[in-house]
Amino acid sequence: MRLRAENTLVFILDQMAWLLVILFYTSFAVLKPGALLNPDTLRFIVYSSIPLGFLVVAETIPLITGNFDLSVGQATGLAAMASAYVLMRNPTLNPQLAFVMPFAFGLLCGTLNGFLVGILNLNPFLSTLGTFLLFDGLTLMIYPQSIWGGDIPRYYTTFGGTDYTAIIFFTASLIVLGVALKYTGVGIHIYATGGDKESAAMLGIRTNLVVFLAYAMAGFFSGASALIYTGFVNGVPLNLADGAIFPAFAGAVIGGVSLSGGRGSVVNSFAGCLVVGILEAGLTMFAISPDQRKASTGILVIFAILLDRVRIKYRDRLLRPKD
Amino acid sequence: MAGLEILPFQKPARTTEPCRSRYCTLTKIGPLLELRNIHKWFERVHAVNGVDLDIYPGEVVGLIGDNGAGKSTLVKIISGRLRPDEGEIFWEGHKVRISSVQDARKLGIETVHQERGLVDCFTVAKNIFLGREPRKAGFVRVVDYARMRSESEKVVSWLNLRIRPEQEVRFASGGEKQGVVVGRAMYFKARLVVLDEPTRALSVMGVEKVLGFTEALKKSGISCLFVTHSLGQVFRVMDRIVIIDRGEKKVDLEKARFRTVHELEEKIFQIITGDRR
Repeated sequence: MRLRAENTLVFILDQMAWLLVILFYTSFAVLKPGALLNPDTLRFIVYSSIPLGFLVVAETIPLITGNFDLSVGQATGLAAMASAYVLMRNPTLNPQLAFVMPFAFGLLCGTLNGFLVGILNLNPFLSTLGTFLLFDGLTLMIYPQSIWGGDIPRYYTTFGGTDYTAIIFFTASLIVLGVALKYTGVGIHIYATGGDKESAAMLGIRTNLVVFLAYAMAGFFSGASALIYTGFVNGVPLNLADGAIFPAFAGAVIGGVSLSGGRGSVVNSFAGCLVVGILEAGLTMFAISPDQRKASTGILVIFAILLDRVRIKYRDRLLRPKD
Repeated sequence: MAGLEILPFQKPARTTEPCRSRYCTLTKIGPLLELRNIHKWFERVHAVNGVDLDIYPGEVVGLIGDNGAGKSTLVKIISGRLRPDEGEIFWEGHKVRISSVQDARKLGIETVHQERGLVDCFTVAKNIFLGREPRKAGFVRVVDYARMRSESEKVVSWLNLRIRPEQEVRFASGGEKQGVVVGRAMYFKARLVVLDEPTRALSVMGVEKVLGFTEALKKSGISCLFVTHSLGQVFRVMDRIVIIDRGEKKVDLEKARFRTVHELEEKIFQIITGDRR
């Protein structure tokens, strides 16, 4: 019986990010019931977290392998700009092809990162710093101005611009990815590579390929983010997803992803991203200025790291064999 | 078992030289693994100098030597982490080239090492099946966690491990961790298990445990190469003792000829000092 109670506790500790979501939401709801209890507000909070949510998911996969990716935000910008540019020049493009484009461009960016870090074994920090600058420059080279919604076909912006489609698309992706990471060999190998690369390699796991794949997946989800962003802001501004890497990291950390690899889940990372979203929305409703909101998010991240340390300690105590 | 695949053996090289393997194809008894005249240099250090070593099926060989004697180099050559500069390796009489850990595993050689081979943040069950996860039938062949769990239960009970399949490996003691690796080798029907200094930094209880694992391996017909500093520790479980010193094999004795560890020690002393009385 005691074992069951402990398992429940471990389960709750693993869902800490979701507890934070509930905690923040209810406390803002109590303070300002009229604004936050409104279902439209809730829907908007979720919807507005989705472009960033895809980025958090993209960031989480390389993090689990024990690497990281500074360039996901820039990859999103590049994929969005490249797709929008092609659509602006060829408005009669086949819609199926149009929707494939951002994913393909994102995947291309991810493949480059994966090649550098996974296959060539370069330092992930330095090589993704390089691709960060490269993608940033390429975005400007493609088109040095913003592209607005009117210049690209309606169907393309409506997909990300409608809250329901965005939410459904994101939820479905999250479920598929979450299941894939837990129940497929590749998913387990992604965690194993982050947990102990050398041992994993000894057991016949091709860790180089796993890392490559993780970055490619990150690129793919950057592309997904690009599609939703384009709809969300109805166009592709020049600085789209500029600096989005920082909240993406913050979300992953609040969600309990370990920077040394092997631990974390994409679903919890999204919860971390929601915590940031709720905090931002709640503070906005109290007319707090953007700079103060930014500072509060910073404090939240530090608080989350501390909380995570306590959580791990307590969780280990529960899991340690008792005899 | 889908997990274990033995590579098609490379045919003995067709040279004018006769095949030097002692494996007899008629009676099928002969060494499982044979090393012939193995050399390895590290720049100007002759780490392994012309070592011959046979390991027969089901045999426990104790490989003993000081630090720097060349035993870990030899172990690395067998487990595929190093390539010999010279010499031949035969597996069941066929000349083989072990150029990676995966090559060794495909032949059926598993290495138990204190620091490698387990992902600490994974459960025992996940560690046993890592890289060879059982899949469910169906269109999307998802990993079968239930099967993994029940099979691991078996492995844990074979070796009387105290750690449970659902526990994370990082909570296990040094001896138990090696038990997980040994259990994995048994489950996937390894032919030869190389225990690379398994007793280092272990308590008396831990050493006892590792010796127990070795006996379990022997009972299931798996050959062992037990690498250690100390003769006293392996005496109980081994069948043969090989001592290497400064890269050369100095002693290769059957244990059956000796009743106690002291008799054996005396003999070894005679050989090493060249005293033939």
